[in-house]
Amino acid sequence: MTRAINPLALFVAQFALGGSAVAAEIPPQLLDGKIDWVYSYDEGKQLARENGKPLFVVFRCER
Amino acid sequence: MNEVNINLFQFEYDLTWMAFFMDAEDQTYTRYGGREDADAESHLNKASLMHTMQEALRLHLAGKVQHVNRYQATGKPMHTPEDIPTMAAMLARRDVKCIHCHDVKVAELRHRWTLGEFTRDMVFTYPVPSAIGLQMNADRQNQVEAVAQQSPAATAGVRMGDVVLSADGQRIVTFADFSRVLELTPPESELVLELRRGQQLIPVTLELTGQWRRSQDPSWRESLHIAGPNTGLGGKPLSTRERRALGIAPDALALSVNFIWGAHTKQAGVRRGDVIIAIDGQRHDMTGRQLHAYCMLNKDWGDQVPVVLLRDGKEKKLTITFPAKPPWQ
Repeated sequence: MTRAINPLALFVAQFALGGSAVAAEIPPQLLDGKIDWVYSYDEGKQLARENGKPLFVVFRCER
Repeated sequence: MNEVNINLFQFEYDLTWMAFFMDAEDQTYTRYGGREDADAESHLNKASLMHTMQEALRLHLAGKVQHVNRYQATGKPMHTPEDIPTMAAMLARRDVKCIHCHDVKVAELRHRWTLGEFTRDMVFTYPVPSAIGLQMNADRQNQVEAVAQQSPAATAGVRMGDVVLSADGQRIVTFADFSRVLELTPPESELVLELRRGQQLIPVTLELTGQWRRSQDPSWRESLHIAGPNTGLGGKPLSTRERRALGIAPDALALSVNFIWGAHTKQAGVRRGDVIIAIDGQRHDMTGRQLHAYCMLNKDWGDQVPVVLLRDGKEKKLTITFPAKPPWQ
């Protein structure tokens, strides 16, 4: 995927879900700096539908 | 913000960072972002972001999106920044056609101005909880850290330590969730909060009236320039030592002019190196942005404003005459 050249970047990432289906404290998972940002909201939604994960949508203004 | 659906992603466009936790069907679990006037990162920190992520995951597992109510943007119809009538003219003046967050609000406000509908109150979007007397904890953002005396929240009986579960029925997890509710709360209204106090659930009703939506220091807002004219100069407050050398009190206005871009400013005779010690009779300490904000909110295009400055150790009085109309007209 290509990164949009846009000073107002919209980042979309998906959470890693914890292993337990019970709504208990979900431990953080070490990503080691590797976050697969998706730069298209529609693409992010499609991924969310496919894998059942929620979306973390970030608007960041690079002034 | 190019081609972003701003009917879906509605937020304080004067911000430089904002996040939404959502499902795959355009529905929101919670928001994260926002700021107090004094500090851009007042409610942005690792602890609160991690807590919000935990909550978002919990809500996702439980299938608890926000209700589709007036606080939940549906995204329909699709509306992008490019659809704002004044945006085309803004972009035409740029080599790079990228639309920033604040451009969305600026374009909308300019459109309102063109229609003769603009009021200065329109700059004060997304009020924060402190506007109604609630200082929210920076880490656990739905927990009350302090209640301002004689505020609507204090009058209603909110206490330090209370957890705000909902405002007008809208689930509150974060500072940004609360700000979203306040954005759509009319100036004269009653706002019902559901609080958790220990093991008790307590509803309280806040009576809101007057200018609570106006924050004290909106100088950080990029969109503020729509509100009125600015002084056309940049300046830096003098240091303590510099003030002492000039006999200026620590809490007094002492802005050293380091840049002039306004033709009206040059015409008034302001020079680089001048120290502004009063403007329109105001002598309290201000940053350069606060100086602009004062004029933008209190003066109109074509007005004259008296300025007192120090030049070579001597007081000098000038008058700045603002342009008759905004540059975009």
